Amino acid sequence: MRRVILILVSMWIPLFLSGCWDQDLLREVRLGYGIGFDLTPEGKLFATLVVRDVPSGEQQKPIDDIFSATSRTPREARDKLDKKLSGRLRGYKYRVVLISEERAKQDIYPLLDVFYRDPKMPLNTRIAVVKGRAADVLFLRELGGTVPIAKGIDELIASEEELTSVPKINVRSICPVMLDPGEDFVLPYLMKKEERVEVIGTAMFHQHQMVGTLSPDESTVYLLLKGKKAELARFTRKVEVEGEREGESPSPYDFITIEVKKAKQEMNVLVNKQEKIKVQLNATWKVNVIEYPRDQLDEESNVAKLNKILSKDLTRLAKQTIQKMQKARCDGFGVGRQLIAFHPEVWKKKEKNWASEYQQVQFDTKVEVEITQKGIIN
Amino acid sequence: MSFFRKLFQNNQQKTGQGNEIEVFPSLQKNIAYIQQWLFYTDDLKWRNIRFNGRDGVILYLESVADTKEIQAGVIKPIEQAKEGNITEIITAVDVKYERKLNAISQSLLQGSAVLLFDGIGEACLVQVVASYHRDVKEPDNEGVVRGAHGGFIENLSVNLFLVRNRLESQNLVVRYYQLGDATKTKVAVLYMQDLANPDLVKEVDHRLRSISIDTIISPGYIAELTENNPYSPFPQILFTERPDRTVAHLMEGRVAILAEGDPTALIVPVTLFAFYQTPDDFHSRWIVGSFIRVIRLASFLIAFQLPAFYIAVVSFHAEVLPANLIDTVKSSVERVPFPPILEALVMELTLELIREAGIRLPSRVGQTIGIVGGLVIGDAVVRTGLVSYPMVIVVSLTAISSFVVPSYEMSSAVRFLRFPLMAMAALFGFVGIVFGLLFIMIHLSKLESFGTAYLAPFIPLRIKDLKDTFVRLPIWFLNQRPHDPHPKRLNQERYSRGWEHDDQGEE
Repeated sequence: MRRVILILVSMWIPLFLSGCWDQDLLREVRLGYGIGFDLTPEGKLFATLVVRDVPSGEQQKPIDDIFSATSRTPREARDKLDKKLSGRLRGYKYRVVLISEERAKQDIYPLLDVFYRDPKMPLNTRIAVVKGRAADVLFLRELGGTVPIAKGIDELIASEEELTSVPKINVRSICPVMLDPGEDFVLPYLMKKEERVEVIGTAMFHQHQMVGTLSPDESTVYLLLKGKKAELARFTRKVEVEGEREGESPSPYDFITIEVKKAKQEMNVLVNKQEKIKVQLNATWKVNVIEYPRDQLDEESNVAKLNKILSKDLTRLAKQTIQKMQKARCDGFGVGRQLIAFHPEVWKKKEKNWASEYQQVQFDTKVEVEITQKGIIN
Repeated sequence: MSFFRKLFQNNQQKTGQGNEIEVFPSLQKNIAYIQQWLFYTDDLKWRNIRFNGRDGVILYLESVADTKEIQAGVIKPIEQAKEGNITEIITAVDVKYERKLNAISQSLLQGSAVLLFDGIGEACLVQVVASYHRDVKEPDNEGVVRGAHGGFIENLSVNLFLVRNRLESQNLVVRYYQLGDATKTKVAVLYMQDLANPDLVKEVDHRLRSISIDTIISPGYIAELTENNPYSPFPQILFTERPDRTVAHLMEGRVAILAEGDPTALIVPVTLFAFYQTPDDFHSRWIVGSFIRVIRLASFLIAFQLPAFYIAVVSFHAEVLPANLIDTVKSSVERVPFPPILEALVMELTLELIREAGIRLPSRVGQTIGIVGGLVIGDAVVRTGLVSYPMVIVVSLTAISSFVVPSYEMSSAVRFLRFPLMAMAALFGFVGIVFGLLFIMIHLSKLESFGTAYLAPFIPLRIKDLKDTFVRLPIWFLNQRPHDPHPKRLNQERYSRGWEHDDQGEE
């Protein structure tokens, strides 16, 4: 009996001896809020880290501590950065990962591998490509003099997502697309402009590499055609209504701002007998006129005319966007994925050099715009 | 001299022998015997009378007998009649004859006046017990907004009156027990003959009969001597001071135990959810009642898990905090020099101290506790950086949640349970909490109260009873009694809103 008790007790005691070996006290860690990756001239990784310090006083502003290190891999960079930091560096609250354009044109998967592998790393971190150096952006320290840089960029991208000008993506959601041979993704594309950061469109990727950029309007058209409309999607287009004055600077009367209310789209991937691939992309957008000083919208003929002009204009923009994407080999619509799903025998043949095959795909794009709301003045 | 010798003699053996002694023919001998039996207690009084031409004496204990009643119901008729049959003359209600001296002496203690006559081998016992009791007031610890405000008091017959008054049914049965070899506490077991399960009544009877103890102090003693699992932190018997609550439980087929000298009814069997119900649920509209009941059940979870959860978060899993929240928490936590578990223990124990001091202190000094607790503990401790703000919030939220519980016993149980969970959280984080909760769940599932599963109607599941568990559906939904006490009759409501389908012609 005594022996049984002894054994039972000795089985339990080690359980409690283990104590706090895996404790990760919040008060002892230093939290990284953002990280930027650049390329050194030698081809090494140049990582810049933003660490947030929040003073305990009620009135005091948080201070960002920003510093860099050169290394070969992201984890090595973090270890090197940690050596310059009091307290343990913890990455579980990264808000943004910035990759310089130069670095993004190489394989970006190695930069993100640690995010997927380490269970404590955040997967909802936003990721963006920076024109120029990521370090330059992070060393701004503050956006507009008040918002700390990492938080500011995070919120900047978030607000652009609402406007359908950049896709709603994070480190987690790009992973399956990145690893899918039949689909590509785009990332927000930022630039430092006079002590501020601006979203200047999106960066197209093919597989793991950046291959080109889209302007904000092109990005919006791409996202709408893909069916990824967010809260708002606005365009300001020049409409040449009767009596176009040649050579004059455009007057505000020539422009219309529309907001896409409802976007319907249909994508059909067709393969003919010669195994030529044709993609039919038809979209119908119901739009709301936000700004149109020329007015005259109470006349139905004018509205019909505008519908026609806008349809033509936006179809042209859509075609231009797709051309740009095809040229860059960015299969943002997932044509390859459709082939894998519905025409696997065709895919098997084209898989090897899908990138060049994709450039041969014939897109048949059509955008139909219908003005349904005109505001409250007519 | 022999008188003094007797006075200071504490001869217990003699009283033991007196069991079978019958009344002596001599009046003096009888008085002497009773005096000795009561060890010449000073509150034993007697008065000489003369009746039917014989010398007699009225003996009584002035501390338990009502002297006015003796005067009006015994002495006055005797003085007036002078002779006749004594039972016909005395106007008091309860009169009986007794031959055994020991029983006579015992009845003195229970408030009888004893009439002894010279040469007659029989005593006449007249029940003249005095009763002094406080008013029927609302119990302080079980107040309600609406509904009856009366509560039990320390007098058993008044308490039984309060129950009978609400339940004028032939089926309400009262069974008396006498518990405690010295205290001889009168205990009443109440149940509905047509509802209470006979096995349950038998079990209560069995458990009460097996009590063998000198002193019974209700309700704690009875509960501890009869409950299924005395090692459990959870109370398995519901204490209530409310007659309406008692009646409601009786009508569900449960058994109530009342004791003399205590305003608490013990109700068996009960489930965990009974501790989270109040009569108020049924006096407010059912939507409001349900809402409040859900909040109360949420408070059950908050009360014992929140501190553990917080400790686990700040010491193991800070990544679960949203990015905007982590700054706030981190800035407050950074200054604290102690590990979170110590911080929490200090705060929780301080809170328990304040609570306990608040109960024990007279209300005039009680305000001081409020100031000390609020200022020193709440504010100064954070300002000096000994405890973080979130911890203060967590501790006060826990305290408030635990006080929401309508039953004081359950409230203490829940507050006690925090500590093992906090230790588990500090050692193993969320995993520790999961294991702690697992143990608690296993224990709760195993627990029984007088043959009823403690988690009924949740485990074992009975969907019909869930109507009055987490929420309270309208009363006309509750056609059947809860199944957990296994009542003899299940139906309790039949088509009460039938009027809706009458009078179809009228608008």
